[in-house]
Amino acid sequence: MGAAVSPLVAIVPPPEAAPVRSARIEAPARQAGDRTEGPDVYKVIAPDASPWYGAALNQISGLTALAVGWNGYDAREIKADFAIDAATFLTRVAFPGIAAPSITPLADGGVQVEWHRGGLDIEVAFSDEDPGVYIADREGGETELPLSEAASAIASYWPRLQGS
Amino acid sequence: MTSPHEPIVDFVNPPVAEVSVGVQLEGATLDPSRAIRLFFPAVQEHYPNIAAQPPLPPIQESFEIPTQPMVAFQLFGGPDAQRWLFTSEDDLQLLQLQSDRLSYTWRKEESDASYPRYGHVRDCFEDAYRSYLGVADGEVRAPWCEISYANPIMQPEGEPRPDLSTLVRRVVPQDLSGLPQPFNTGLEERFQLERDGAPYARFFIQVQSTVAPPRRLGYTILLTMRGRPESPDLDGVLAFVDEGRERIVTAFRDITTPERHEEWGRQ
Amino acid sequence: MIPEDAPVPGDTSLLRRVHPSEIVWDDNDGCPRPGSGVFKDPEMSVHLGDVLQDEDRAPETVLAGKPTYSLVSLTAAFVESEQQEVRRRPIDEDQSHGEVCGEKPRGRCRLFARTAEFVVLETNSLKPEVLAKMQSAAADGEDAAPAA
Repeated sequence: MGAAVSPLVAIVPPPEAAPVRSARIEAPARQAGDRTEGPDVYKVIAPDASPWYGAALNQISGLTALAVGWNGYDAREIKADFAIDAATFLTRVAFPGIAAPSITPLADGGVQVEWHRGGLDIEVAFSDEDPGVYIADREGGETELPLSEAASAIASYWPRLQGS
Repeated sequence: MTSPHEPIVDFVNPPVAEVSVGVQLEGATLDPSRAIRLFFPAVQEHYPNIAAQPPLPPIQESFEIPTQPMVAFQLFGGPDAQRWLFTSEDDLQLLQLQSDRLSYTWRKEESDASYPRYGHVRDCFEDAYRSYLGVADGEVRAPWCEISYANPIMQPEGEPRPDLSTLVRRVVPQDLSGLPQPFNTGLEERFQLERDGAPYARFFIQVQSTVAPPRRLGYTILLTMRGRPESPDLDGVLAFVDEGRERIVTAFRDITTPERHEEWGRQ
Repeated sequence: MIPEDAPVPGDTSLLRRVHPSEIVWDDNDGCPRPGSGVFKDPEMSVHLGDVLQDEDRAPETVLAGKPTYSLVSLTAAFVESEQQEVRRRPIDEDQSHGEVCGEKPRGRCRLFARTAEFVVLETNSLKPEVLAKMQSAAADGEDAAPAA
C-alpha cells in the first residue's frame, strides 16, 4: 500500500479489493512450428480476473498493431514493453467487481489505462515521456503518483470504481 | 474447382498424417459452460471422450507490413479460458472448441489407419459446425478460416535423414566443402493471396526435420492456408476450405519429387 | 489567403483528428470524449478553422482519406488561456496546418479533453464498449451529447 493519494480516500482498501495475487504474465510461449510471422504470445495466468480482463488484453494487443502515424499525425508505434507493462498492471488490479477501464494508445508509443467514473478521472500512463498515475477527484484535488504506486492507488479507490 | 469428394492428386499410400479444418468465431458464440451443456450432447455420439486444455490464440493474419513485432496475450484461468477436446472412440478424430474457435482434426498418430480422404474430413467438419450453429443462441460468423495438412516422411529405423533435395524440389543439392551432410534442414515459405486486388489469405509451406519414435528420422511437410472467407457464413467457410485443400494438394504435388511420388503410389 | 504571420483570432476553431482507439467513455459526464493523450504533444498539430473558411473548405475535409477518424475542436482563446501559443504552420498538403505550443502537464491535457467538442464523431468506428455505453445512455434518455 502506497501513501494516501487524496485526503478523501480511504487508506486501507476493503478486503474485496485485494489484488489478484495468483495472476502473472510469462514470457512468449511461442513454439517451433507456429506461424512464421505473428505476435509474440505472452501467457497470462489470472484465475480470478474480472470478466473484462480478456477483452482488455485483446485491446492492448490490438494497439501494438498500430503503425507509425496512427493518430493522423506523427505518432510512434506502440512499444511492446509498454503493452506488456499495461497488461501486467491490469493483472494486479483486475479483481472482480472493478469496472473495466478504457485503454488508449499514446502518441509517444505508450499505453494509457483510464477510469472515468465515481467522480474520478484516473489515468495510468506507461510511456517514455510522462509515465505515472494521475488522479483527478471531482470532489477534491489532483494527485500525481509514480507507477510503482499505481496498483495500490487503484485498490484504494476501489469503492468508487465498482462496475455497474 | 474440383469437387470435394474427387481426388486432385491421388496416392495409394499418401504420407498425410493429420488434416485440420478450423474457424475463428464471433457473434453468439458458446462459452465453455454452454459448449458442454449444448454442443457436446449434439456430437457426443461420434466424439464421446472429453478433455480440457488451455485455449489457443485466435486464427488471424495481419496483411499490413508489420512495423514491429506484435504482442498478444493468451489468458489462462479467466472466464473464457477453456478449450474442450472431444475425441472419437478410436482417437483418430478430434473436435476442439473454445469460446472463439472450432476445429475438426483427423489424425493418424501411431495407428495404421488409412487417410479417409478430404471429402470425409470436410463432411465431419461441416457436421460439427452445423451442430454448433444449431445450438448457438443467435448469429455466429466465421471471419477467419484455416486448413492444414501435416505430412511426415520418415526413414526406416536406423537410416540417416536424406538430403532434403531428395524430397523437396525447391531445394537444390549442393556439396559443401569442409562440411558433412546437414543433420537438420528446414524450409519456410509464405505466400500472400489476393482477392479483387486485396489480400485475404496466407499460404504457408513449412518443412521441418523430425524424429519419430523409436528412432526414425525424417521430415514433416506442413502446408497451411489461413485467411478470410468470402462470406462469414457456412457456405463461405466451406468454399474457403475447399480452395485451401486444392491449393495444398497441388502445392504438395508440385514441391515433392517424382521419385517420392512413385514411393507413395501415385495414380 | 491568410498570411502565415497573421494573428490567430480568439474565436478560431482549432481542429484535431482523433483515432477511434483514443475515444473513451466518461461515466462521470455520461458522454464519449477524446482521451487526454490526444492533447499531450508540446507542439500539437491542429487545423485552423479560419484558413479552412478562407479556402471554402468544410471542417470534415480535414478527415479526407481517414474515414474512421473523428474530429474535435477547441478555440484559440481557450488554449491561449492555458499558457499555449497558437502558430500557423502551413504545410504543402494543408495550408490550414498549425501548432498549439506549450507545456501540457496532465491536468491541462485532461482539461483539453473535457473541453473539446466533437465536430465529427464517427460512431461506426467507435470501440464496441464506447458505442454500447452511448446507446445505453441514449436508451436511458440521458443526454449523450459531448461535454462542452
